[in-house]
Amino acid sequence: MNALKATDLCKTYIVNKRQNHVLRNVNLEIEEGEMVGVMGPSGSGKTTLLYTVSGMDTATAGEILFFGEKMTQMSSNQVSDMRLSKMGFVFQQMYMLKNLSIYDNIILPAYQSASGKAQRREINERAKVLMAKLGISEVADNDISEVSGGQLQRACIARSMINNPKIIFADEPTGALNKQNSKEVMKELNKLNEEGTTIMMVTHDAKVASRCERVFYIEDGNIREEKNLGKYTDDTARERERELNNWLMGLGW
Amino acid sequence: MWLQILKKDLMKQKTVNIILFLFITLSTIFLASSVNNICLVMNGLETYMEYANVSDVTAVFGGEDDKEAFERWLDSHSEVTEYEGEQLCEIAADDISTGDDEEAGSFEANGASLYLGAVGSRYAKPLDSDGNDLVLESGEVAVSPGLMARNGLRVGDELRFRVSDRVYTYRIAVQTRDIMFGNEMSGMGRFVFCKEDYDKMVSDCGNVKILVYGINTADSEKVLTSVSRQGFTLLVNIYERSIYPMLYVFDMIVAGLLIVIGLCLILISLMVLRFSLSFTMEENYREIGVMKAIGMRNFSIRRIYLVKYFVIVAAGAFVGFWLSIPVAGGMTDSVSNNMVLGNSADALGINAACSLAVVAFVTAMCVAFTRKMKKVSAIEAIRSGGSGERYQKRRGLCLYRRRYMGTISFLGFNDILCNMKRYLVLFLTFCISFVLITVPLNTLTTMESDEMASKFSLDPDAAIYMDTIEAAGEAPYHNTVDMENALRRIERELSEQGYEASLSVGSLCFAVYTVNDEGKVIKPLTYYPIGENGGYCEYSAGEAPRLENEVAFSKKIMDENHLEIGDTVAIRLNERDQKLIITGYYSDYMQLGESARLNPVIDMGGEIMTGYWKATVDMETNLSQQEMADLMREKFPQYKWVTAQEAVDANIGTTKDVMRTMQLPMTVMLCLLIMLISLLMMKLFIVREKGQLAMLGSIGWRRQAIRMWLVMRMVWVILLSMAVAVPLSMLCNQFVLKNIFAIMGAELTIQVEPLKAYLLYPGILLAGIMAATYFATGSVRKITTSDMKIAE
Repeated sequence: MNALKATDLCKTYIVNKRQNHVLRNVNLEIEEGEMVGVMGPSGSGKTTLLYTVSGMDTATAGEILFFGEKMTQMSSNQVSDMRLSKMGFVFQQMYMLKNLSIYDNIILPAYQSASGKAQRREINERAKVLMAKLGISEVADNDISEVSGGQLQRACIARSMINNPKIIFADEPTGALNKQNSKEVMKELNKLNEEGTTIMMVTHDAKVASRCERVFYIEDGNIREEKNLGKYTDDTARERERELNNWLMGLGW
Repeated sequence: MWLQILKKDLMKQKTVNIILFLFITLSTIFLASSVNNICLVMNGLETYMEYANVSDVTAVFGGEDDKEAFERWLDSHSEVTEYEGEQLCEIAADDISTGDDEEAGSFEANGASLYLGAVGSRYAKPLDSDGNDLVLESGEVAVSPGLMARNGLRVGDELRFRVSDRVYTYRIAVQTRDIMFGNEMSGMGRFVFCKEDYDKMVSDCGNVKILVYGINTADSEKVLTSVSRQGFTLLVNIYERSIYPMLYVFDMIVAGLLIVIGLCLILISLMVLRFSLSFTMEENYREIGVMKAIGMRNFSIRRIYLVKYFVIVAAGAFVGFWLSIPVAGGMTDSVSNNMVLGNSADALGINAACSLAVVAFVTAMCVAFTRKMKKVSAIEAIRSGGSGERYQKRRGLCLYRRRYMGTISFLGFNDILCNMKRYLVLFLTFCISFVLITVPLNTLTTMESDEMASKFSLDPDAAIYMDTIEAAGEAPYHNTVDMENALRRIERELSEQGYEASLSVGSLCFAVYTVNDEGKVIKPLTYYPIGENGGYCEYSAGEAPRLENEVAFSKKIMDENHLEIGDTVAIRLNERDQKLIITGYYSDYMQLGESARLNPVIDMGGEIMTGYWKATVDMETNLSQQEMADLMREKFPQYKWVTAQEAVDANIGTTKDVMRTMQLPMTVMLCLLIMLISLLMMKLFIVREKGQLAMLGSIGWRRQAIRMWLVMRMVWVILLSMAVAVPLSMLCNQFVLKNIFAIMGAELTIQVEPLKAYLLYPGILLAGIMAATYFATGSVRKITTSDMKIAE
């Protein structure tokens, strides 16, 4: 089943009375359980595509189907509810509420949709499991200013997972991290994908993109080509990276 | 280059700059108008007395028989530097009718003695509303505001006076500011005419003519004591200049409240100004860091911000200055109905100085801020002043531990704990506003309470009161025998109609007492009770005088003369001195707390009484005083029936009306003010928190939920400030209001209607603030995911 399907997706911004077509009739399909990467030069429309298909931004034209449901026909509240319960988000900057601890930031989306003590107990259990899995249990009560970038990004991943989303949208998740932290974060994302979560990720980094099953190359608001790399395994990492780099060089990257 | 950056900054940070401009304008308006108002009101009475040329001592004679003897005494007394006597002619209210009503007796004097007078008096001059001497043409009359208001008169209306069976018609030309007769507390009223008209009316009329002497002296107390000892039989009253502030004490309640309001507004404006400035300046930290990083010199960066803030503050202060003029005028007008306070427009210098002070304050803050900027490195500025090495521990709570709190409520409360400094200004502003709203409310409640009535010697449990006991056409009674006969007559009349009532009255005179061995003489208003309840009074200590040789004094007299219960004083009655023992003391507002109460058995038959206080009617009834008054007015229209509250209202003059008139606009004004402050503050917060709000939106929070989070913060601030405002308001009652009422001569307990003071009015404010906050959060709708980049 298609987790996400965009048909003739357009996004136009009007800047100083001039139209800026950021997305031009984009068509894409992402299967459930797939991990796809979106690459392309700066200003090509990668992030806009991610924000538009996730409902964070509205499309100017076209249709988006999320697990068969037409997102473009939903009200803004319905889209918000869908984002809260079925989608997870990881951003390049680790945006969190500064007045809450790491733990509270993680459980916040779930608490917002929870009702009753039993549900809250369940959320707490889930948060503890997630944090343990991501290796950040020891910083649960820390302020967001007291942890490293990698820990913070892993906390963001935990937050994105707290509602058991069907899909995670990640916008440059390793953009602000060092090599070691990047590796750790990508490892976690691959693990989540192996567990069945669909992931759509925007990145500049070929090494990061090579961990995806499929990679879209976007240029001037259109998907120019896509590369199927197959399922990721640690043994094939170098080979996949080389293959992807060659493909990208061929596209003028 | 820097001009380009400045231009961009002014345009790009439009919202913040406009909010800052509005705060500066608001602060200037309140600072300038409040300081202007305080200056005028503080010196108001002194200014009024100077305008009116009030003499050191004033002596009032009930007739002209003592004139020669008194003037001879004045001429011979070395302490007297100058004096002048003025004749006034008594006229009954029944002899005056308003233009619309041909019937005599339509004029409502509220029990005051009315007099006709002429322009040209040297002391205690009647003035026009601007403080100028009255200039009247023939056919014109000038009337005080209290009398005009009570009779619904306006300048241009006609008044008819019947003197010696002739009717004279005059047009009201001026509303006077009459320091001696213009205040209802004095119990007198004056109509002023030009000299020719006065002479024409009064020259051969048989009405009583009183004499009012203004005396300037180097030693007022000595003159006062000497005159009292001379035994001038027609001397009704003699008092010092210091009595005038007491006459205007109720006007000063309004003035005092306006001073309190003014001080609070100044406090609010300074707090808000300081906060908004530092908040917006912090906003610039990152940009300063970037400019430093690219190599701009400190001076160039400082110049940008100094010029920017100077432009904003100059524009705000300019607009604020012009708007403060009508606001100051409005504030002063609410006090000056009875007084000449000077013109707020004449004190424009104060407004200008305050506006300049705001400019100086903002510029100084900006200089201090930019000076601090010199010390921080580029990267510290980019990190908003932090070094990146040390972080302050958060003061907040844990969401997962709050089992009974909704997520939105928790977030709101947690934000306040984490940013106490940020919300402190709002907290204090709300606190002050809540207290400010309760002050006039509690003042009004107190003025309408039984406690207030009892301070005017009115028994709240009496069936009803009578303003006058004279039969139609009878002259005012001046002896106790006439008064007693009148009470019995009215009892009979009531009985004939089936109302078994017992009447009593407190007759009044100014008796002379020698209060110590050195021969110190005082002449306080003295009560002589006639009838069972004629001596109604709540005694603070001791008991009411009952035996022939007993007397009680007000606490003020006891304190001033170092008297104690059991001490002996002498009273001069029937040309002989009589020893009296003090049996108790009390505290009330009669004669501003300076009075005496005689026993009911002493012989006062030979004494001339100046009048009587309201006659008390006691009878078995289930009706309220108001219902009883309505009934009696219908059954016995020949008498004036009043409730205890009406009697109090008549004595406190227009003050209560002024307060009542002030209350609604003040509540609305305060509500609008804090709504505006809340709205602007919330806008500032949203500008700063755009990144966080966008993040919440991106992870699936509905906009409505985000708006509710922001509103909840404000609700918490309001609830916390209300919790503090209630005890603060009680303290305010105890230490501010109680003292204002105490100026009138007695202490009383401030009355509070808890539902109104602590629920209804704060509820109105709460609703207003929530509405303003919700409105301000409307901009959340415009926040998009791209705003996540603007993280705090």
